[in-house]
Amino acid sequence: MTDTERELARALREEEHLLPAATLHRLAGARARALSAPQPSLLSRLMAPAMGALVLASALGVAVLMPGQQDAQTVQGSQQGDNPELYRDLDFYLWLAESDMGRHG
Amino acid sequence: MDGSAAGPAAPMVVEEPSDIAGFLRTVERRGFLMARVALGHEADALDVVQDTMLRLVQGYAARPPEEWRPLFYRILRNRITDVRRRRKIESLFGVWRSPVAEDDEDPIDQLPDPAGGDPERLVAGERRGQALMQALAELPERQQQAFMLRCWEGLSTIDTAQAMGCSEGSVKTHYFRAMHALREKLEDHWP
Repeated sequence: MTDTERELARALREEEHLLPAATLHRLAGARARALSAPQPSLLSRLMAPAMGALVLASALGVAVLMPGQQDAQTVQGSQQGDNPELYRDLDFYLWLAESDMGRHG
Repeated sequence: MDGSAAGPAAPMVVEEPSDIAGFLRTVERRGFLMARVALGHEADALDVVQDTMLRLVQGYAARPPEEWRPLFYRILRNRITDVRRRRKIESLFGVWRSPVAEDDEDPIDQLPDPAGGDPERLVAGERRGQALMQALAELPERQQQAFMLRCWEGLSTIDTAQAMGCSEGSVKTHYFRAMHALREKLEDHWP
């Protein structure tokens, strides 16, 4: 870590201690609400990854069964899609689904 | 400001609290500031942090404590992305939102400020801090994330890559560019 990085990190940590009391109060309230919220049922926790896997399997199935429907232009269009964040986040949701499935057996 | 190449920050040794409440206490301020930098809106940042804490508690409180930190920042990043998407949709329909907190009348705002007793520190610290926050807010999204997670939070390159959903090489590239941009923007404050 360079001197600059150390100084910037220190300045940022100082900012954390300059937060107004009102903000700190709201953060404490948010934490309390998160900790006291009811836990989701096991069924609902299993449904999300299951639905994700189903959607992915359907998409893959369509891609495999109907390869002729996609011409080069469509493929190029999808790669340069309007919302690259969606594709970037896809691996995260898959990772979450895999993690949850691993936990629940 | 020194002119050395911006290498990745050394990972900090962080002793994780073994209970989820203690962990949230250690990350809530930083998470809020990161969300505020990314979104430029205090109320949205609070919502994002609250939702991130809720999802972590409901989904991952049973995980080993060393997994909480990268998970927290991964969820935070995704919630920030969700808010940005929602804003894009809102902007299509012409929904206007104030860049500052909407609940100015909240009596909580009248609470005394804990840093209010040291005006000199406030003036000196705030000037630099505001410049830094402004410079951070002007960075491209991915550079912003890489810098905040590596330098500010002190996550390792691997954990940062996991939180950002990209490769370690991408983290290094974004971090290098962020440091380069910040050096230029902040040379008056950190000569």
